[in-house]
Amino acid sequence: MKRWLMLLWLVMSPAHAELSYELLTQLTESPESLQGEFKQEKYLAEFDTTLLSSGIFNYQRNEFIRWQTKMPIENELLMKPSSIASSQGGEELISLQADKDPAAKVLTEIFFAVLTADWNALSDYFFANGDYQNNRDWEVKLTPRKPTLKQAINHVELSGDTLMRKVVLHEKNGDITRIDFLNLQQ
Amino acid sequence: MITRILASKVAAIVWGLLVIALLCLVWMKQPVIDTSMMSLLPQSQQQPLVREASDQIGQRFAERLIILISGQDKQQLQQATQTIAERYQQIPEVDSVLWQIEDQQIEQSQHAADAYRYVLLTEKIRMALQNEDTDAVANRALSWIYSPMQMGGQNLKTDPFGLSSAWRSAQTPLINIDIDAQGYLAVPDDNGYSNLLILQLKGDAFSISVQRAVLSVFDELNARFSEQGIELQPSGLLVHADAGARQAEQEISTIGLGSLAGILLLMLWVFRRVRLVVILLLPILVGCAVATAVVMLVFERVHIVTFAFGAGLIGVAIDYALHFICDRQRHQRVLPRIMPGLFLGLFSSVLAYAAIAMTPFPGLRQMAVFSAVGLIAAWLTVVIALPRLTKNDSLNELRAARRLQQWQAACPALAQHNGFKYVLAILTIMAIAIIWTGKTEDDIRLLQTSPAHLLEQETQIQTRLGLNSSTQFLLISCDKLEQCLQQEEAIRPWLNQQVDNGILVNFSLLADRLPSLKRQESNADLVATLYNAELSKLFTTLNLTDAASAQAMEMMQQDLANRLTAEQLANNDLSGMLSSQIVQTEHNGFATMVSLTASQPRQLAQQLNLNQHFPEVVLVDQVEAISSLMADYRQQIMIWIALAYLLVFVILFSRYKLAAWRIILPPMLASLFTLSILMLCLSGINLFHIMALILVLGIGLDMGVFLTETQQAANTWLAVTLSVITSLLAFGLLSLSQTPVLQHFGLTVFLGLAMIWILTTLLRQPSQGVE
Repeated sequence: MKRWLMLLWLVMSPAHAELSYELLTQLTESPESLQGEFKQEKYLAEFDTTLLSSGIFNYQRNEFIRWQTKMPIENELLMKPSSIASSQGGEELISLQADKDPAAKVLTEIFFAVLTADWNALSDYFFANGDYQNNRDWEVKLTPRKPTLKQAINHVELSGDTLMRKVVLHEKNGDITRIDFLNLQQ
Repeated sequence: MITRILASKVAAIVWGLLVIALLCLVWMKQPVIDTSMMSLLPQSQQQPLVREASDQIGQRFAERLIILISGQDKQQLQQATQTIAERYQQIPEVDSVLWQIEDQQIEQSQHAADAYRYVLLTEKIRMALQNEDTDAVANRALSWIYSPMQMGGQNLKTDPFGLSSAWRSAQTPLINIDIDAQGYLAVPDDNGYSNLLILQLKGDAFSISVQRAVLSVFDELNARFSEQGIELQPSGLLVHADAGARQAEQEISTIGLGSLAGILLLMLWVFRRVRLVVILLLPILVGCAVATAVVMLVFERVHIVTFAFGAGLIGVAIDYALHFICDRQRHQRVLPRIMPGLFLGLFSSVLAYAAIAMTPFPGLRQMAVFSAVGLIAAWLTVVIALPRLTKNDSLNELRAARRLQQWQAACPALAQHNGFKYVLAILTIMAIAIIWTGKTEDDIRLLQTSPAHLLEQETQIQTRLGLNSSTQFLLISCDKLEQCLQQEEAIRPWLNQQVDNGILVNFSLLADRLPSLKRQESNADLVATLYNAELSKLFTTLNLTDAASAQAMEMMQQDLANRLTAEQLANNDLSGMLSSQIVQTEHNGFATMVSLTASQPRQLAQQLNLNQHFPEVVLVDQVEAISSLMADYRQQIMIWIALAYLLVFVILFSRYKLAAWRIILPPMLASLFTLSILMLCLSGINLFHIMALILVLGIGLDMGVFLTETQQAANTWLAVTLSVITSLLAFGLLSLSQTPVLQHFGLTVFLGLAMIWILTTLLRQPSQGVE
């Protein structure tokens, strides 16, 4: 019943792009924690080639995201609201403090928001324009609001049902990063 | 002879014309009121470079007005920001307004360093490469390449190891702003939205016309937008200078009018003739007007403390007129009788002020000029105009004089009671003991003239903008910028250690943004090694062709020789914050400032012990430097005052022989007593309390000289008493001032004069004064 009402609302509303965030908030679940596998394809425009990688991830809402690449290299990326750290075999390779580095802050905020379907946070950074099918499958295209972000990102496509299933990031330089989420468990 | 010249018609006309001409000259000048307590202090004897650096910091604060605009509705806020910017762009006192940055500028500034990516290495990468750990850098690159959020245009061809993005993210921003979608300078705000607007002023922040022009627009805009729920907060010297000027203006007019009204009432009560009172006021008006005019013509800015002396001058300048008028009530021809006294009074006072004018204090010099000129003008008016104005007046007995005399006769005199001498001696010894052991407080912060809410607002804005509000910094001097940068690089590990030890909270080097050429050279070598060792391995891991690897290698070879210079860096410095780290002088070479925040600022000098580690680096602490300067000059002025007493005594001795004691003792003892009372009652005394003692000497001298000259005639006593009361009124009102310096002056002179009068009464010779 609730879904029906929403659909009706969507159809009747002429400017549904404006409403997508609210709608998306209602369509998707945002679980406290989530784990699963990911498959990543990174297309490098410069060399017209694609880098494949895969691994597992888990997150605790508002606390951390652990992104472990298993193939072709072993790497762990630990993101917290205040920092990003990348390590390999326990050795820290990169560490960024979000409070000292605004770029890192934006990065973690966006990534957290994408993964945890935090539409409210995403609305700060992007305009949204979405589609909705079969009562459950949605697709949304995000375009950056801020010029600082526009320097890096052309747009982001997100799709899923109650959970996020796919993220496609179109970078300014033509690179495309596509991430598929598989075997999601709450 | 002199008396006859002064009494001539020509003298009166010349003097009148001179005064009028002066006033006309000043009428056309815009007043520039200085409220900064710093300008009272002498140019520091620090190295010229340190001074230059401090001046530069002050200058930056002086020539900018920052406005923080906050609201709940983003769109409304942006409109308001634009309106405010456009309104200010129309004002001639504003040079430029920064409120919006174009996309293009942002992109340019973000990628300005990209061309120098091979020579700008973060500490971590550089360290790894120095340890021949090229592997770590390659692994770092790989993990970045495969990471899901590798964004920001890292390009495998131009920068496979991600050197430029690493460099960019290691840069701490100079100011905590975020450029929003429309290019507005957004300041992070937990409760809504805030935008920043920076005005570059064209005029002097102390100029009243600049203050009024800029702030009246601010008030107008603030009133308009507060209805919409938008809050405007200003920050900058202009705001404080304006508050200071307004307060001073208000207080000086209250004090001036208050004491003038008091004097009028008192004079009317004593003399009971309006005409006499008007004649009495004439020298004061002329004195004050001429003094103000001369000071405004001679000095670029008039300091508010000078006006404090102005209020005091009313009390002193009336002396000469009072003596003339009081004596005129008993004698037809007055001037020849009182001329020696009048002249000596003027001479000793002007001499005291001249001594002050010799001190290295710019503020003191101004006050001395003001007082000396004012006194001379009042004095001339008395001797030139008053005899003419009172030519046909009849003699009159002043009832007040007789009453005062009767009252005094009942009052004990020292000469009659030997015991008093001992009491006085004991009190003096006690006072000296108190002064010897008393506390002093030379902290410049205590003299802060700005109201607390403005200071709070200032700190709040500075904190929100992430600006370093610490007044401490390190200064590294050199002949060429390159040397400074090398020195900065040499000191960096040690500074990092101090952060680890908890002595420093943070620090910021210019070399963090602009490595020395030497460092860039060595970075280039390290990067070449990195490419040779790791590039083809990396590209093979990524399944990229050899051709691609060759392209990347070629790219590196092309750009490896690029070097970042200060000029190129400055070109892309949107906020203009960067240039503030470089001090450039004409004769003393370069210096760079290392801004820092200490965990315990007061202990920093001791904790760092720079002398031992880096003797050529100077820790500059502006607050500490000024405070210790104040302490230094407090002691020096004490010596100056002692010398002034000595000099005055020599002059007085030549005329009065041993009776000179009777003149000099009251101001001297009054000063000692006042100082000891202040030390007992306040948490400590400072330079300005001591400076006020100069006034005590000046006024006290006049009194003693007149009384001695007229053998303590009843009418002289009346004149002296009236002049003390008028001064007490002026300085008593001044001691209620909100401006600490004025308050210190007022209180000190008030106590000092009250005590002079009591002491003079006690020290009088009872056999005399029967005339």
